[in-house]
Amino acid sequence: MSKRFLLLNGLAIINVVLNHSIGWTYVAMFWWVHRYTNLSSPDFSQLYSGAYFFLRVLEQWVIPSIPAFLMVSGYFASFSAGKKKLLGWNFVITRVKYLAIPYFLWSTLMIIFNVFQNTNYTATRLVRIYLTGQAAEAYYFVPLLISLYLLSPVLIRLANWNWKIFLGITALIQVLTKLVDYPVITGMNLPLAPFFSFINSGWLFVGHIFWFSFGMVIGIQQSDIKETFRKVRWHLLIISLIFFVAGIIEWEWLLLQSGKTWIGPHETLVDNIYSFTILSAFLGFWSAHFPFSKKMEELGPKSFGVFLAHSLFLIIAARGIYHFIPQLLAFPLIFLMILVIIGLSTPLILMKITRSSYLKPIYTYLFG
Amino acid sequence: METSTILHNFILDELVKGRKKTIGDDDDLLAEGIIDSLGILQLVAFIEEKFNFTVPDEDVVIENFMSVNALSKYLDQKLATKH
Repeated sequence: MSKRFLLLNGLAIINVVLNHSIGWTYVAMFWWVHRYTNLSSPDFSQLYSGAYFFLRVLEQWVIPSIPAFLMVSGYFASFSAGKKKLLGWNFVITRVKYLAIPYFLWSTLMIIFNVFQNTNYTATRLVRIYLTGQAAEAYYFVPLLISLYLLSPVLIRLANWNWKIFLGITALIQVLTKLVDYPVITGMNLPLAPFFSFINSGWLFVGHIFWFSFGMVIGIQQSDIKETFRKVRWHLLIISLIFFVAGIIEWEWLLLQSGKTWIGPHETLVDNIYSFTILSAFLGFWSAHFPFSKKMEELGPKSFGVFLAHSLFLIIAARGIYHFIPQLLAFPLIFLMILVIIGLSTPLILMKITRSSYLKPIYTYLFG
Repeated sequence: METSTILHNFILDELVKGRKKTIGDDDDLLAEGIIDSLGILQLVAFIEEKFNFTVPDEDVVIENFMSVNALSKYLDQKLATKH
């Protein structure tokens, strides 16, 4: 089963790139309409079109990517604790170092890129950007993971003390956090809405703590969990399919309830249940052969580098098309495909060049 | 080629983090940040392919992957049993 985590990481990074490419495709469909029609932007006439629903299905499919990364990281933390069942600060510092340095470099690169696009930054804003991962859409994940690693010496003790209670409490924290996000999504004017919105920030661990803890428990109770998931793998798969569909319907319902034309991405409780069941099913089918698994296993170890680098290339590609070949924006699925190819291949090429050049010694600081 | 040499070469060529050019037999691979989580999983995949031997999940523990020495010992033991 452990080798499955390489495959899972490979799959997850493809899905992350796909997710952000979908985001840009929505931008092309609704906010860049003036570039390929006579209409003024934003224009939501393509909402509920075939292309829109196709993108929504894909968007739902990619939801378990971040939970998968966090789960693998939690598993690794419990692996590192070993028989001592303890995690030392040297482990934490090493992990944080190799996450923070490339993150800082790529965030800085994104900020410089935005400065050239006439974005102004104050010192306070810069500090906030670095601390909460706002330099690019995807970067919130790095401060989130760093905070979970910082908590890992405590979490591992709790997981080893009583893994069932530990998992139950972390699940409860996450469920409550997701529940209070619903009024925020629908735009209800509650006095605590700013607080509910804050605790659901992507970079804050409370809304994601279960995934990391789940990975830790898998590491501690590997053989039992492996067997349990194997036994109920078909049930898990069916439940995940139900919640996959429920998540799509729920989102449209939330959009209607909000009374807005568009709402930004939120991971809801239904999405979380879908992620949990599909990830558990994936582990339950640990002996099944997946197509292209070898290729995806090779991609797995490069996931952090792709994660950091893809945002910049997606922006360049999307804006490049906007300026130079706007006719392409009228074809959402072709636009999406181009972005996915660029978002995946450019970082991989860059990583390969770095690794085989005199820059190899700094590869880790660039791509993790 | 000896098991430890094969492991040394793979770790140095494919996995090593930072600017390390050499690793000692007893260097703590994880605590010293020589390799990371996915590096361990890559090592498992490499061992399975190179030595034509499936590493059981219960053997994927830090005690077996702590250092090149620990891993060599584990592998030699397993390969001896296999033959």
